Parts: sequence; structure tokens; C-alpha cells
Amino acid sequence: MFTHNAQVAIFAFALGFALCLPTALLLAYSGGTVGAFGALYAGRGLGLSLGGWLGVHGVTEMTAVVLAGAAGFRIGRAVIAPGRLSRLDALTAAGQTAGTLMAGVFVMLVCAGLLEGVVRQVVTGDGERYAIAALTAVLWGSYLYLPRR
Amino acid sequence: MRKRLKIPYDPIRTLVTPEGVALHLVLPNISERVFAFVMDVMVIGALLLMMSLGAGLLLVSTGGEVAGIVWVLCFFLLRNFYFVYFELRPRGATLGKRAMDLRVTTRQGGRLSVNAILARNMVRELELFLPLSFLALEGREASGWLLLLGLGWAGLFLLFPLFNRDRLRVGDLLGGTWVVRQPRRKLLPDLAASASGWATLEFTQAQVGAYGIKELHVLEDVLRAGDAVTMKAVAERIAAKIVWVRGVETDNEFLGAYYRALRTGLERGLLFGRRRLDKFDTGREAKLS
Repeated sequence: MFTHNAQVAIFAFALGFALCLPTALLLAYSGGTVGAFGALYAGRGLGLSLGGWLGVHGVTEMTAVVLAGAAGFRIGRAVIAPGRLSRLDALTAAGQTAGTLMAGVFVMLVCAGLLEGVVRQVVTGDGERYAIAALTAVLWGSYLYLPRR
Repeated sequence: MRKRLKIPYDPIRTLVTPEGVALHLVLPNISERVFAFVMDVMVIGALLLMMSLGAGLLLVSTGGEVAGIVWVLCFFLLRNFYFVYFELRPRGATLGKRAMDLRVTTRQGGRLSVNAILARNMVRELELFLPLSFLALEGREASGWLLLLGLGWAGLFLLFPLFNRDRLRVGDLLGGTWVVRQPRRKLLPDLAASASGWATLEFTQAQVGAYGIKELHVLEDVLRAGDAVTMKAVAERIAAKIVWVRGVETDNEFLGAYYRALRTGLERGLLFGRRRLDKFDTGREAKLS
């Protein structure tokens, strides 16, 4: 699962160069798969436990994939609307930012892999799993969105 | 109809470094890039093969799922980080690039950053695996025309380097990098040190002082080329100039011994601050040029 999702993240990033649209399609497709999965479980009364099962690592992992998509969009935007820079310079600048973002995405994906492989096997209760999911959400959210000096 | 003038492709680019030094970089041919890449793929393939064998042995001995997991993880790392790892090292080249005497550098001058290398190599996914995935699709999953369209679209990224002057991949575009030639420089062995086979002849001060640095270089070229006819002519010229009676020594021995004596003499002069440029340099007047 880890390698598959990392591959999706890389692909989302790379497809950004192809004018954003494929990235959007890929993200929507991946989201749709998760949604279908959820609907299948929820229909049989397993929705709550699936949420915990996915949430332990999913909060980290899906954030990472979405961020990779954002990096792709950044590149696509540099191709479509380079602004004041020349298209080449805009692309290089966007590539640098997106490269940094991708390095972060890999760190997140490794964290998600550890959560999935180790923590999920150890923590089995639904409540605890939701607690971990909430904790990771707060951690990543504050890291990414809180203003810093 | 007018014939179209064909301008030969000029592979030399001038890069001005942050220090203000102009470097002349030579861009490689497309074929060199392709060969370097094929070599890298072969290295990855060989590593994968060895890993698969190892995983197979592990599977037989333990029978667990661990081997499979390890294999998938290694495959992922190799596929995505083989290039990143090697290009981040000081050489800036994967094994294939090193074999073809190529390396990655920035287009602006300055150091390669992790961002640049990551951005450069993550795009490989788009350039290589996208066309491959279209090839892998079969007719019953999508109609033929759609496949062809997709392949053409994906091929656009694959063949991108063919359509720009600097032979940039899409990844190079994003990373602000390019691939340049880096020929290996081999130092030739020192003639004076390797001259053990040469006879040791004694020359007088006046005989050694007949020539300067320029003639030393010419003599060195002659010795390195090792052409018998030229050596004979040169040996005769030198013998006549320094009034030397040829004995049993061969041309090679004579020239080698004289080379060593001349170089020793000139180097000794340098120690005392006398640089003798050529045989016309008497050292009395300062040379203007």
C-alpha cells in the first residue's frame, strides 16, 4: 500500500506538467476509489471501524498525496500562466518549490507507512484509532498552517 | 526551389559562474544520453534480479510474507531513488552517465540542490512510465484510436529533448538542470620519471644550455610520438647543434638522456629565477611578449 500510494503521489506531481488536468483526474479517481471502498463497508454497518482503520495512517497519507497534487498544480500553473517571468524561468522556479514540497511529501509518506505497518497492528480499538487520527491531523495541520516566524 | 541552408548543431554553451568565470560546456549527443539511460536501466534490472533471487531464497527458508514486502519496498526505492541518490553525490552522475562521461549540472551555475534533483527525477514517471503504461494497455481495455492518441500524448514528454536546443528533458526544465559532457582527463606519465631504460649520458653545461623551454616541449612531443624517422632526424639535429659525437646509443636513448639533462638544467635555472623561453633567449634583456 505504501509504495502504491507513493507512486500515486509521484505521478500526481509529474502529471502537473501536462497542464494540471491529468493531476486533477488522478486525484479524483483515487478519491473515488476510497469513497467506493467506504460505501461498500458502510452499507454493511462497518463504516465506523473502517474510518478508524483508514484514519490511523490515512490522514497523513492522503494529506501527502493531496500535497503532491498541489505541487503538480504549481508546475502546471507555471506552464499555463507564467506571469512576469519567461515560461522557462517560471517553470524552474516552480520546480524548485515543488521539489521541496515533494521532499516533505516523502517524509510524510514514510510516517504514514510506519503508522500503517506498526501502529495499526498494535492499536486495535476504534476509539484509540480515531484518537491517533485526530492527533496526526492536528500535528500536520499545525505544522502546515500555523504561521511561523 | 531554394535549398534550405543546413546549419550544423553547435553543442557548445557558455556558462558564466557566480564567480564570473566563463566555462565552455559541451552538450552530449542524444545517443549518449540514451545509452547512459539504457545502462542505468540495465544496472537497475541486474540489482532487481539479484534481489528477486535473494527474496526467493528468503521465501523458501522462512515462508513468510516478509520477503515479498521487502522486495516491493526495494523495487520502489530503486525505481524512484536510484537516480536521485547518484545524482546527489558530488559526481552528479548515475553509473550510466559516468560511463558515458556525462554529468548533471545547474543551468545557472552554482550547486545542485536536493530540490532540483528531486524535481528532475520525479518527472521520469511522466516521461517513461506513462508511455509504457499506455503500451501495456490492451485492446479490450480501450479502443485502438484512444490508445494511439494516448501514446502520442505520452510520447510528447518522452521525446521532449529532441525538440529543444539544449536537449532538456521535462525534468531538466523543472529542476533548472542540464546534462553536460565531462571528459575524464588522464595525465600522461612523466617522461623523466619513466626514463629508466634510457642510457645516462653526460652533457656539459654548454651542451645543456643550447635550448630553452619551447624546444623542451617539442622534444617531449617527439619522444611521446615515438616515430623512428622523426626521432632520427631530431637526434641528428641536436647532435650537430651541441657538437656531440654519437656513440653506440640509439636515437631514443640519446634523445631521452638529453631530454632529462635539458629539463634538469632548465628547472635548476628556474630555481635561480632564470626562465629560458627558447633557444634565442639569452636572458640579457627582458622579453616583452
